[in-house]
Amino acid sequence: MSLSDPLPLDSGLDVSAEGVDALDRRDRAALRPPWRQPLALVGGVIVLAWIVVAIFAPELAPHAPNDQFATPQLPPSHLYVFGTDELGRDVLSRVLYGARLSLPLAALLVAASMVIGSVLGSIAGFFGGIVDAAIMRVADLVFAFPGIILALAVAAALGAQLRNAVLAVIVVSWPSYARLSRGLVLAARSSEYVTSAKLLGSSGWRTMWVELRPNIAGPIFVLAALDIGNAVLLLSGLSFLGLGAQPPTAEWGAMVSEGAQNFSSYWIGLFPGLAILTVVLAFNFVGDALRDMLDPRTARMIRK
Amino acid sequence: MKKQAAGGLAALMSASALVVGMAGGAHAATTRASAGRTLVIDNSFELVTADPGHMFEPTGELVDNGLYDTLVTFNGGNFKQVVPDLATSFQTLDNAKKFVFHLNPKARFSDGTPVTSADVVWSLKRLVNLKGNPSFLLAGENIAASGPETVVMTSAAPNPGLPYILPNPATGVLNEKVVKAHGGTDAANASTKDKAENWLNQHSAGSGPYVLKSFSTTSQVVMTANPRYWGPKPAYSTVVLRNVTAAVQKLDVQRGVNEISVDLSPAQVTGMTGVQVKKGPSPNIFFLFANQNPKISKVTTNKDFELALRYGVDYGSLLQLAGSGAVQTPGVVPTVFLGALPASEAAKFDLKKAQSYLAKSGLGHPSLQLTYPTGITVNGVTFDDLAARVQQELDAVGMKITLQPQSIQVALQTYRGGQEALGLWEWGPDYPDPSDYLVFAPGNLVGLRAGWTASDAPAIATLAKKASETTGIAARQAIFEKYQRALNSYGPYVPLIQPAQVVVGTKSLKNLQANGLWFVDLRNLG
Amino acid sequence: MADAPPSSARRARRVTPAGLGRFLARRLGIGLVLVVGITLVAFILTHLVPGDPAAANLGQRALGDPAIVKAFNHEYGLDKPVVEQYFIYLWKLLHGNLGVSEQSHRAVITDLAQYVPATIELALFAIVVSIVIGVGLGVVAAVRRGKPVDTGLRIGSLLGVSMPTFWVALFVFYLFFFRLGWFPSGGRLNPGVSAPGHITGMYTVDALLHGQWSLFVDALDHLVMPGFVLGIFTVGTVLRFTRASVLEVINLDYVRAARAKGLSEWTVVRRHVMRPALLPIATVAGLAFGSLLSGTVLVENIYSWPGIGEYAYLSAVNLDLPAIMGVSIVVAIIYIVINLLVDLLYSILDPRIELR
Repeated sequence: MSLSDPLPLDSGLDVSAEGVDALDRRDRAALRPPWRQPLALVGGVIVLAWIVVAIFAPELAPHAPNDQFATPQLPPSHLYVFGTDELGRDVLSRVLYGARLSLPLAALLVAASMVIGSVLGSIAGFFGGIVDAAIMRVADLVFAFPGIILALAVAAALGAQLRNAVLAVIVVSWPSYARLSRGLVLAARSSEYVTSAKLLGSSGWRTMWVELRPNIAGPIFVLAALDIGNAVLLLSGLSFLGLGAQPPTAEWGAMVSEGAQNFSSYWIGLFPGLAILTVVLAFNFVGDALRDMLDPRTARMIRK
Repeated sequence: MKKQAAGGLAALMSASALVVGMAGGAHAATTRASAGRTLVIDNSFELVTADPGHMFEPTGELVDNGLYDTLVTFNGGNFKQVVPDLATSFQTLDNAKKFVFHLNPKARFSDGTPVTSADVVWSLKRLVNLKGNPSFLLAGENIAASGPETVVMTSAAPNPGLPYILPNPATGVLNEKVVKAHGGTDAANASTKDKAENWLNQHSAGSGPYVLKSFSTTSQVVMTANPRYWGPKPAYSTVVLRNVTAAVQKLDVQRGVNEISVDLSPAQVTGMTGVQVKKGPSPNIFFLFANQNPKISKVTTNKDFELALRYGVDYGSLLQLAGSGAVQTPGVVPTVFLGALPASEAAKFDLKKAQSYLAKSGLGHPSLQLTYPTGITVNGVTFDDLAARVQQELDAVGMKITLQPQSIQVALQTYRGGQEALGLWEWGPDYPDPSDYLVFAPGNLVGLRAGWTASDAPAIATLAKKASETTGIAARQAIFEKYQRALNSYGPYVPLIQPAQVVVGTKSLKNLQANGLWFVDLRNLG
Repeated sequence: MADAPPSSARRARRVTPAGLGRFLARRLGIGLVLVVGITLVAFILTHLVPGDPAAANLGQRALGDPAIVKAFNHEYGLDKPVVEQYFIYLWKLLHGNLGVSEQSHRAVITDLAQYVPATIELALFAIVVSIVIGVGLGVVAAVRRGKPVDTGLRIGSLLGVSMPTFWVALFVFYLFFFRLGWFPSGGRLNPGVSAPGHITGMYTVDALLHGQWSLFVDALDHLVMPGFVLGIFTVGTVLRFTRASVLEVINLDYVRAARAKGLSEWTVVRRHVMRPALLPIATVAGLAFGSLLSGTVLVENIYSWPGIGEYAYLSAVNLDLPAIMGVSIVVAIIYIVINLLVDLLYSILDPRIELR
């Protein structure tokens, strides 16, 4: 559970110019491009590896994920590398297949919240006034809930299904993007190129699309990269509570929950948990390095 | 059943007669008591209230069984025979339309006042008029006192199952004066006017061996010995019931931080040492049903499809899933109750037969959704696991089953509405009498959920009606067997399994028994 | 909550009482609007529910009896039009009545009064853990920036925010309760131990206030495992904030001057860097408290901690509409109040910040 709720923008966390210049030279190391940073590299490799697993799971997995063929609760051995679960299914196969669910869903829901959030946020920032107030008050409303409690309510209200859990996570996560893009648009709106575009007769929407989009895209993508990890955690958390993926679906959170039923067979819950951890950690490595590339003020807006 | 059981209930009465005079005869097992002993029981709470008039949850039964006395009760795990509690004996009259209960004059509430027929009548009327979950138990019963120690219950229709209903702690007898003083009423409008539930969730007003000390539906319930208990001195000075998930219960009992864990599955207790493990078949049954309403499905109404279903389920594999101690249920009545079919009549798995029936049905490889409530565990068996296993087995027969897990609320709605083509459900006994299983008859509660109306099978509907009115143990056994054979041959149900009721306790406990009604019998434990 | 441009653009005077009053009035006004908004959102959400509360709370037999279903729906006001139900709800809310929980049959306000302090106690413990560890390690990371220690801590903090709470909770539970037996398995007190007399509802605090030392130890014993697990997830955040805010100050002129005087690096940090650096830490701690409330849902579930997270979970699963509404409102109020406190604290610590 990380902080999914951004700080208020006026909380004084922005760094004064002299503070930035005064940063120790050694700290500049962090400003190298991500492919030259070991952590980001490691993260990238792990993410790639999981993507490969997700694509080739049917080829890589020794068994079908829901095939109840083995003796239940066998400890890891050369036959069943991750052991078997309480129904005699191969845990390794289920973990591998789990990637086919968690990765695309995480990408999907981050993309959806990013699009919804940044469009609404840009509109709010660009047009201001009542539109701004309306959109941002709704965002405030969402921020006034701890993420998982709102997601819990949404998932329970719509019914315990993976689809609804995804919707619930989107409902919870779009406001971060709205707030960030609004801030970026506000900062850029007064800049010279936007003013000149306006003077040249460009319409509001066109200015937003042509002039502002490239300027806000970078930070938004960084936030998205950082958010994928959160999305995976939140979604698996809902599944763990029984409000997301339903059995027998091989989903990591649901598998940990099955493992929790039998502590003595630690492998049932251990390996899916490790899968979640590695995926989230890898995305966070990458996102973290990307954030360091942004200018410090923007980086502060994407707090973590 | 013994010979002398000519009138069935006469047997109960003679059994009662034997123990009359032994105060609280039913719980005479443990008299030795050591002061200051604490009993810690772990249970995954299903608990709403301690007020008997509202109580209808498993954990509530365990609690109220300790706090309140009922007219009659069961001894240990024997649900085929009732034994005296507040009533030393009773008579069955007028073809089971009238029952007369004779109260034990020694019975005292925890405040020392005697338990009178007025208290009994008031408590039972309140139960009915509260219109809560357990109200149906005594629906249609006219309850009256006839003298300070006699209670008479009459009904328009015969109710031979009544003695088996009364051990339900929901029929526990409250101290009328005390509860009235805290807002209780037995009036017809009690459902809105009775305000005693909150008070009864902080205090008890009964005559049982324990009194309520603290009560929380989410963390723990604490009971202490009733110092004025009219029966043998309770074995424990304090009983603590903690809300703990099954997985943690296992660790607790292994580490010895509690005395009893009641929610473990057979798989979870496999290989446990240093503890007592008691198992018995649970009275909860899992069953499949195929909807008989052609508007819902053209497949499930096909008679050959139903047969393919019945032969296509590998019951042995389901039992393996449920763990040792589980049994296949031969009919809808669980094996531990009166009226159960003998095990030899249970359906047998035969893949070839199932495949040939499916071929005969002309449906090809039918696609169907199997609906079930997700996340619900019965005696350590989850619907999800069971459904996954059934899906795999029916796949081998040639049926394309997709699982349709739904949250219990949603699932219950489609189930109640009779909209599920193929459903996997469970029936837990409301009371341990075969009459509770008449709900499966065509046109009755569960029958309608399976789209099965009385006009679909008038002969079985008539048979069910007759079964409800038959009295006498032997006659009831016979007619309920007949009823279940008819269900098995023509009905929409495939009775699957009764999971195992497991209770694990520390070695030092005496009289530890798995109890399908209230987990463990606090009154028997030593 | 506020939507002002960065505060450095403004220079403000000291906080005046009138200014403070205006600030509070404005913020409380916004808060009120938010709470009403939340009742609306929660109400719409809970009435989207495809399931039927009666089905969730009545037994199968009782459901077969229309009279009982009718009595249930009447008791909980479910037989009225939805819009009317909402206004009835608001009206009752104005009188401090949150309705009756369908699962516990008690007033929601009574339930909340019992569960909220348990969660606050847990979250406070976790926040203390994460501040002590996070600030300490954050200062180390800043002073040793670029060194292996810094890199290690960076990885560690990322690891902290990347671990699935429920999984860690299970692991810690297995290790420290089952394998090592250092801590009790769950709950707030040992079985059969009575809670201290109610003052705050936080058992550790109440036990101390009553001078019941052994009870305090018992309560603390039960707090440690869930508290630490919950704390792990904010340690990383606090650490990184501390590092960043220390770095901002560490090279300012006056700090350089202090260093030039020949003071050791650690002394410089202690005397000149910590105070300004504490500002953002106060903020992040306040906000972390809010996000801890999220974490409690998963942690309480595993440690049988009878708090608001578990209550929220059970209400959601049982479609207990009044309880879901109550939890939402109370949690939102806690959130709003914490945000307000953070901003106030901020203006006290740094007079340059203008309250708006």
